[in-house]
Amino acid sequence: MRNFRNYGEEEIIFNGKFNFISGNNGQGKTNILEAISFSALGKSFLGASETDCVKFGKEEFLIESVFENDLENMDKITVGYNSIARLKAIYKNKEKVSAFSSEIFGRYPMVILSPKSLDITHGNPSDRRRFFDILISQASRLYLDYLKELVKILKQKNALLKNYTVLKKYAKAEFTDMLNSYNEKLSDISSKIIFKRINFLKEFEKYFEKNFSFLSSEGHKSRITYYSEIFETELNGSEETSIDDIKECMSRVLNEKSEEEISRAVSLAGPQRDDYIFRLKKRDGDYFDIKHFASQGEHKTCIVALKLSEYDYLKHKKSTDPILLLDDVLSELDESRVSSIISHLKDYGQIFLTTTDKGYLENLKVFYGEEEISVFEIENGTLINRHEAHRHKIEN
Amino acid sequence: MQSTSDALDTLIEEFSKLPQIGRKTAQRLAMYITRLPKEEVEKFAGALIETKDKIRFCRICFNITEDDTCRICRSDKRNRNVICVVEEPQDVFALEKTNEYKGLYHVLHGIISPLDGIGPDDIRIKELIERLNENEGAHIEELILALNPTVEGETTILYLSKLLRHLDIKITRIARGIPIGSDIELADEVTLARAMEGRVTV
Ligand SMILES: [Zn+2]
Repeated sequence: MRNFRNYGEEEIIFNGKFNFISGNNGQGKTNILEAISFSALGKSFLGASETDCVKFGKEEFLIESVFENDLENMDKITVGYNSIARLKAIYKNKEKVSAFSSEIFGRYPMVILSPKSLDITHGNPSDRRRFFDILISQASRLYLDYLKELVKILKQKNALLKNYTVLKKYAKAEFTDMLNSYNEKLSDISSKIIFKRINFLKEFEKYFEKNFSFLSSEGHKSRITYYSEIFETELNGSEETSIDDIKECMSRVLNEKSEEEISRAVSLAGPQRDDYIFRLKKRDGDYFDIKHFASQGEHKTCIVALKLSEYDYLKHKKSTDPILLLDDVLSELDESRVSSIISHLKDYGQIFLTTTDKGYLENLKVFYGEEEISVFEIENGTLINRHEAHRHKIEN
Repeated sequence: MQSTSDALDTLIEEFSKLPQIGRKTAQRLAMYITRLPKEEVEKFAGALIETKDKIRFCRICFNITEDDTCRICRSDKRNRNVICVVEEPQDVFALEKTNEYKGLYHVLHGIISPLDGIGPDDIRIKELIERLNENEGAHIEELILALNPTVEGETTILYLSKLLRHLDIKITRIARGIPIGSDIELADEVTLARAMEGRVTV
């Protein structure tokens, strides 16, 4: 990479198994993971703008990475960004591709666990929707297309409501026909999105329940349910619901809310307001909502189970081992939880871990042979110490 | 601005106002003009002015014409019982090239988009209704809505079908799916899935 964050020019050969990246805070450990996320997802996993990623005083950054699969096939991905032209370009094997093309998006599945991941159970419904939307989109391009369409319909519908209520445009009959047209489109796309989400949960819950049981020492159980205002109850994926059923519910709710939507000039129903509820069951109690009633430890177990399940799900869907990024997790999750993740995944794909705690390296020696760990020490945007297990030359 | 001639800068400026033309392309086009013989440039400039002077919209269908009505509306070879509704005149060119459609047209000159401040009154919907009501003696049996499969196109289709539901006219829309001539295996996953959604009984 060149001129990315606080790095000048750097070339790193990673280990196919485990990469241990240590250094003090603010030295540039996470930047390495961010560069990797640009190569696999076409964007920063921290949600940072490209301009923020250009080294101070420079105009552009460049990241070149080589992915190698089990068959030793290599793909060279190049991501460049120029902050003056505000242009991002992505190349795969020297051919230009778009960030959301299936050539990139979802092709190199990636699971990321960082202190921010705790927002999934702690935070707002939008944090949970975002997590699941990205996960489902990696497995289904059609779902990503549905989401884009939903956003467009909502933008138009909100503009319509604002034009009518605030700007006093359109005759009443004309407006009503237009609103009904948008609501018809909205019911249609909403039912497709919700149907996909419920079917996803049906498949995902097998992994999640298994992983949670594996992690929970007290024999607790956990499950995820889907909450939408349009249904009377939460759905957990075991119900048989058809797209037409969902569409009918959605149309009914849109009708009921119509008056309020018009007076407040804003959309008030749809999958953009739904939520996933994490529930926990202790031995003989009922399932309760983790967000409001669980301890810190229970939250953390839930997140680790979720991430392991994300890994299992993507591995199954993409028939390839995802890359796992563990960013500064030792500071938030205790060592035993981190070790249980590593012990669970050590036989599969590549793992990257950043930490300020150099001592943790000792714990890894239980899981990996010496050749299977590469150690990098970062200081102020420079690798001051590297122990790459084996360097082989990459031809391109 | 960038060059050493004010006239050239103005030309570049004008070219870059055209749709899909960026600054660099505008410069390239302007430089090309400077190298043309004078009579070629006069022909080009003349064509611009003449187009603007002569072109108007057909009184009936709002297609491009040089007369009061367009060639399609005047033709006695066309089926006057069918009207195909399109967004822009270039959609008429595209459909005419197929040589398959024998009916008449109606050009909306836009599409409903609240976000861009375009409502039903801003495009030729009123004129379509009038046309269906008076329909020049002949009875319109079918209205084909050939709008783009975008969110705006789809909602305009829904809006028109609501608006016209009381009329005794068959309303159809063109299917969306895989472009003919392209192999199914080459169509991307989304296009294929969408084509499956829009499947019809045979
Ligand atoms: Zn005409």
